[in-house]
Amino acid sequence: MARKMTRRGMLATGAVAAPTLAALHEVVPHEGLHRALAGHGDGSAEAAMTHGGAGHGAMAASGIAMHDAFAGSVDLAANGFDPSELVRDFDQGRTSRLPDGRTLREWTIVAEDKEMEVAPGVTYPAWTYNGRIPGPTLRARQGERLRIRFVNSSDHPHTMHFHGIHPDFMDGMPGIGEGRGGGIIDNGDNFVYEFDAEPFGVHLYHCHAMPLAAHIAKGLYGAFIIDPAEGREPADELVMVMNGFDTDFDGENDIYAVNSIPFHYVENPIKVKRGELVRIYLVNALEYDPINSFHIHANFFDYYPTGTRLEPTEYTDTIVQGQAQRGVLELRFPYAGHFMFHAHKTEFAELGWLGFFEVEE
Amino acid sequence: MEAKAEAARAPALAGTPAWVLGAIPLALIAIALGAFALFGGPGLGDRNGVPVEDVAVERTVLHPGEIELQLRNDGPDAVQIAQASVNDAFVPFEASGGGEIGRLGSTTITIPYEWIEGEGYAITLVTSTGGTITHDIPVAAESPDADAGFFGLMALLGLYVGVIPVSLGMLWLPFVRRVRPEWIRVLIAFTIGLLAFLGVEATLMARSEDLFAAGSAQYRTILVQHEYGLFDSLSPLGTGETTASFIHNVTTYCKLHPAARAAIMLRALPRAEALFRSRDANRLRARLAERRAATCSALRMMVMTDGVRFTGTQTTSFVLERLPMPSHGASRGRSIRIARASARSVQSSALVPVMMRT
Repeated sequence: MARKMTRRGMLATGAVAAPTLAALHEVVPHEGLHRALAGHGDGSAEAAMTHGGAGHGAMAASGIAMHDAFAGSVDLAANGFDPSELVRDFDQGRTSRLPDGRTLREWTIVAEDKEMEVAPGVTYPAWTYNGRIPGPTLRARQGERLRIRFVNSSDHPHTMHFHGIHPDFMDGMPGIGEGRGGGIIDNGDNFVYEFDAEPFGVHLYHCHAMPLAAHIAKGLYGAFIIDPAEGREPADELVMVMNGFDTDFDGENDIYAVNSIPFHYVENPIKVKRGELVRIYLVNALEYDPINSFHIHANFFDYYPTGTRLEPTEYTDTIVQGQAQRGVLELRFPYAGHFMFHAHKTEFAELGWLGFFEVEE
Repeated sequence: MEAKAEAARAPALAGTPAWVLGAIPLALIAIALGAFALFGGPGLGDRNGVPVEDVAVERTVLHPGEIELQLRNDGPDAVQIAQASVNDAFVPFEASGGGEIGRLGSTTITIPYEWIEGEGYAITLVTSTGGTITHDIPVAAESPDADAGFFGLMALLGLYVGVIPVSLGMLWLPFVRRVRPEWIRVLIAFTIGLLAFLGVEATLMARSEDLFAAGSAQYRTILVQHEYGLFDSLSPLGTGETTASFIHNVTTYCKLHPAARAAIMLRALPRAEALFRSRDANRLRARLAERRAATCSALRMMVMTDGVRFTGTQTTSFVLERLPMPSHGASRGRSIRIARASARSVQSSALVPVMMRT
């Protein structure tokens, strides 16, 4: 950007650069340019038109515009996961009966490095659990015995640190439990985390290797749901992990999303039934930014922080979560149509954390 | 004597013609180059390591509803522009050649965007590897079109600085023809001396640091342009000056000189000094805007940070400008031209020739 400047050069600059600048615009070839606009035929455009109030309409319209910003779409097959499936994908593991009559639930989780397309045309050297971001949503019932076999196939040492109640050497903390095979798990090693499913609620697991921020931001996190022993009311259940990617490694996120792919649920709205109970397990795994938030349009929800109590603490349409905060949202849609949801930290919304529910009769 | 000594030292080559001795190294170089080409430059093959992305924004053109950036790939590797955002929001864009920029190649990014005159924009381009290229438009204003009036104005300026002075000079010819030869020598000597001085000065200036690349050039003076083109130095700013004291200086000055029309401050700062990072600069702009409401409401201010990304230094410039008064005959267009003091337009601005280095 450095340009030499002389007093005499100024006149020349003024006299030559300005007309060149303007003339340039006229002659720049516009044909053969790649069209950034994606199709409007995905129903979400109609949402902006037909289902918004004044404010909603404007917001939705800008959402569609933001979606259009993305040239092409992400290769979900190459990524190995589709947020439209991931949102209802609960991994119950394999169960068996222990001698004392309790249920034993087992999973195998493999850490692996993977090049991930995190926005159309933008790749990111991610670290993953089971090749996806977020990692599998592990789901158990309160009081069960859990056994998670962790295999580290990544080039880097990692751990699995569960939010829950367990002994220290099962905590996935470097420096604690190495004597018993735990602690930091080096490349090629494996370890079995074993503990009781306590307490019920929506939790998360993530890598706790140092440097912590980098290990989390690279993609090593996932939701961990423990159902109450008596269960919850039947509902259409969804898992949403709020995250982002710092693609240029400057310590600030460049892309925001829920379930990793920005604007995915604008192009592919989440379909739900009118009047049916919808339960969202919401986890904030966003690194670098102190808070994240969730806002639903034209509706309110009951909020159960961390999901550890069966009584809601709040009836609202917007909640804020710090990093690793999570909660259960319950709501019913009284009207059919398209309803936007997004981070009400609007910068995040316009950088990808924005989607739609499509409510059907 | 010397030739004999040479011959004694190198008897083996004594009888060899001189041209052969000259040709041998050339032949060896040719053979070496040939072998180098034949084997494909062993050891100098593909560069190892991760791609280096170094893209410069060469031109910014603003037209109603559209922002256009011309990019040049200064780095060794090809760069693919994948996404674009304006003020932290992804936007649609068009890129010539599909956004792929080869080494030293260029592309034009066209962003349909309803920008607002006088506001600032930060444009971020995301590459296929996730790297970002950021470009600030400190104050948005429409780029001039090259219409007949524009060329007419430029022609008129050319007349002023080129034709008229030369014509005036030629009027001296009858006088010069008649003066005595000694005086002619004096005049010629003076002219040659002047030309030599201009040559030396031009060379020095060409070698001196770019105002905006700064580094060595420390601009710590605010020059304020009063009405009718008078200039005044606001205050030499010490290196330890804080944002708060800067604002204080400016507001005090505004109070004392309500007729001040424009000021430009150029300041080079080490990268480590977070004081005037672009975010701080925006904050500063907001704070000044707030203060000036109470003191000199007619002043407009602009913060400029440009050419800072690759130089390791940061230059911040401020333009304080009074809104055009009808009594000055200042049209809105003129006001905008002053406000749009981007790195380039400052170069062509009338303020620059009196800028001081401290």
